[in-house]
This record gives sequence, C-alpha cells and structure tokens, in this order.
Amino acid sequence: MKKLMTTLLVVMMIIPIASEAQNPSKRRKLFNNWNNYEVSTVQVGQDGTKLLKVWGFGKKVDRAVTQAKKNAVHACIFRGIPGNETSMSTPAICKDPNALESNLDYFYDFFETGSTYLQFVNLTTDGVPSGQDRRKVDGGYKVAIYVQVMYDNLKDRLETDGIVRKLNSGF
Amino acid sequence: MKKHLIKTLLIVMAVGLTSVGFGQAKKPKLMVVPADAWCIRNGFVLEFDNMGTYEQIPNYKAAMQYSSDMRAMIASMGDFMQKEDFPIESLEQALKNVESDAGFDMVSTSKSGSMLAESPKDKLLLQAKPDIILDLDFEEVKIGPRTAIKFNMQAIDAYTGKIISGNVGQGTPSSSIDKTIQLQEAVLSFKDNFLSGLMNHFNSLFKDGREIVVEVTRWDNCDIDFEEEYGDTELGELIEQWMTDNTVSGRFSTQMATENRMKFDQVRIPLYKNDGRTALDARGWGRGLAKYIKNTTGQECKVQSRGLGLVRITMGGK
Repeated sequence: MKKLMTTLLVVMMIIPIASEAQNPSKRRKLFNNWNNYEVSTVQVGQDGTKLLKVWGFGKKVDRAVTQAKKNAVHACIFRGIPGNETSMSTPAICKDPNALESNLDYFYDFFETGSTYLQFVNLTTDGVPSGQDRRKVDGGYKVAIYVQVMYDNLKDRLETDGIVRKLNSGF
Repeated sequence: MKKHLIKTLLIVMAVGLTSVGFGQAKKPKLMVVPADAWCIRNGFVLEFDNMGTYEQIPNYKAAMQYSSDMRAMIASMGDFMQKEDFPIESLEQALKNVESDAGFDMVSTSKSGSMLAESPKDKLLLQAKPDIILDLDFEEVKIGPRTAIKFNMQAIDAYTGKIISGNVGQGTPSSSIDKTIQLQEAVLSFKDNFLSGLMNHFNSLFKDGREIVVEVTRWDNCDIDFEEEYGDTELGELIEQWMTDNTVSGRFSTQMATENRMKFDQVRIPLYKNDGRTALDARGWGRGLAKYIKNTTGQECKVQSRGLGLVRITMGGK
C-alpha cells in the first residue's frame, strides 16, 4: 500500500512537468516575451564574441535576469544587434523570418530555462542589477545586464544542427 | 552468406553513387586587394606621364613589402575566412606569379601587332582570377589625443562590379592600445556583417543562378555578322532566344547589340548542367552557346573566359 502511494506521488509530480513542456500557453508565453526587448552593442568583443547590454522583464529580479540572458541569445539568432559609434551592427544568424516557426520544437527546447542557450552566454554581471539598470515597473522588474555571447559558437551550433546553412555549403 | 554479401555490395554501390551523384558548385575565389585610395594615400604608387596626363597606379608589391599594417589586416581576414572554410587567395603569391609571367607578357602581342596594354591591377586579376575582390581601405584618424582606425571594406563581384557587401566604420579611439590590436578590432567589427553579405550573395547564387557577363563578337575576317538572317530572324535575335531558353527564368539584359558585337550582363546561369551534378561556370555555359552558333551559321567559335563569371565567344574561327 505504501509502495502504491509512493508510485502515485511520483506520477503526480511528473505529470505537471511533462504537461508544462507541451503546454501551448506556456509556449506562447515563452515566445511572446520576445516581442519587446531592448539590446545594444557595448563594444567590439574578443574574437567570436559579442559584448551586449540587454534588458529583460520578470515578476522578480531573478526571472528578469534569466529572461535577459535568453533575450541576448535570441537577439543574436533572430534580430541582429544594432551597432554603435565604435562597432558595426551584427546581422541575425537566422535570415529566414520563418526560422522560429519552422523549428518551433527545436527552439522551445533550446530556450527552456537553464537549457542550451546558457552554453553561449559566457560572462554576465550575474549579481543583482542596481541603479539605472533595475527598474520597478507594473507587474515586476525590468533589468539590464551586460552579457558576452559566444556568437561564433552559437552560429556553429545552429549550422551543425541544420538550422542555418554554412557559408561554404553547396560549394 | 551469399545473400548477405550481395546486400553489402548493394549498400556500398548506393553510397558510392550518392557521393558521385551530387556535385558541388564551383567555389568562388576571394582575394584582399588594397584599395587604390589607400595605395595613393600611403605612397604605394607608380607615377608616369601618359601622353601628357599625369597618372598614378597602385604598386601592390611595394604595399605588401613595406606595409605591416596592411599585412596585419589581411592576415586577420585570412584567419576568420579560414575558419569559415573559405580560405582567401594570397595577394603576395599572386604578385609573384604575375612577375614570373612578366617575361611571357613582354613578347605577347595582339593580332594587329600591338603590345598588351594592361594596368598592374588587370595583370593581377588576370593572373589570380579572383571572383570576389575584397577592396580594403583604412586609415588612422586623430580624435584629440587619441587615435582610431577608420575602415572601408567592400566585397565586389569581379565580373559584374556589383558590391556584395559594404562595411564602413570606425574603431574605438584610444591613446594607449597598440595599433595592431586596433587593426584587429576593426576587422572583428566588420567581420560578421561582411560574412552575412557573402551569405546573402551565395543564397542568391543558389536561388537565381550564377550571375555572369557574356560577350559575343566576330573576327574581322568572319563572313557573317549578327544581322545575318536565318529564315526571317536575325542571328542576334536567335542568340537572344537561345539565351532566354538557357538562363534561369530567362533572366539577362542585352547591354549592347550591334552587327559586330553583343554584350549581355545580369545573365543568370544555372549552377549545374542538365545532368544536375556537373558544376557549370561561364566557360562551360558559353560552350553551349558556341555550339548553337556553329550549328546555326556553320562558323567555328572561340570561347575565352575569365574566372567563373565572364565569357567571350568570338565567331569566325578558333
């Protein structure tokens, strides 16, 4: 009887996790977070990297920071990064505007919290942002962090996974 | 046992056929060439009096021998292109090849007996045959006590003269950073934008075909010209009709059409022959047109090409 109860408990714990992954509203929420965020280049990074300032929004500061890291990687893949007076703009890795829709499952797994995207965020101001970089807004916090994105590694990964073409493919 | 062996053999044959069956398009060659403006600004020029007109032409050899800055920029670019599996052609090596051919050029004359008239850039391009020229210009600018690197790097299609990717910008001003580091920073600054421009160009290549330039001319001693009629149609029109049938979506522009010479640009040719596996370049495609002209007029044609993207067909003999 005790064994049965334990099994039931384990099953009950697993079901919500599994359904969360497939839940359309959660998925919508993840992708809707990318409709509006700000990102800018800080300076030319070391070879293969981009040094960015990126904003994220969340109910708590921690969540906003997590979202900002996702936004940084998202910007490199889909949006491109605007330049400034000392560095040129960086184009998006995925040129195809339908890349996200056509690889929805791939990117859902890629951007799940604590998932693959973190491999490409190399250096952040992981402490709690303060001052101008932390703003209390309706429904939570808007915070800015400084992130070093491993741009070349990210591009290589997407090329290897067949999401984007390599420069020399076809030749 | 026998069945197993046959099965294995079939698999090996299938794999072999697959690898042979799908050809690769011909890879464009890239070469970094110092911009004329950079050569003039830095004094790497040859000066001469061209029948009363003072002219300056770039001296690439001197630039490569004496400018460590240019060499640093080219090395940085070569490094990241190598990582993309797209090594760039060495300008220095191309210059050496030009020199070794100099003796040959000394005795080269045209049919009319005149000597070859080529600028150093023509010679270089003819020797190295790059398909994409990376025209590089940069200078050190003073901003108060600090210096910054201002750069202008254009990727130019060698045959159409179109700019594939333009990159202009200025690096971070500094009073303490070594100049080599600043130059490398400049390269890193435009690297991704440049690669993106190349990628767009290659995507267009795969989608709409290779863009080439086609010239059709006739030798002086050829009996017929492009206004000669076959049935009710002039030869020039027949050539245009053939072009329509043999270009991607019939895309080409007739830039010039006279009785002696026709020139077509923005000609989009397929990347592969009809068999779908043999890579096609301007020369291969031009041979088809030469055969058509021969079949129509009975005249032999000479096919000459430069790199992958320019072909000249001369009617009236080889």
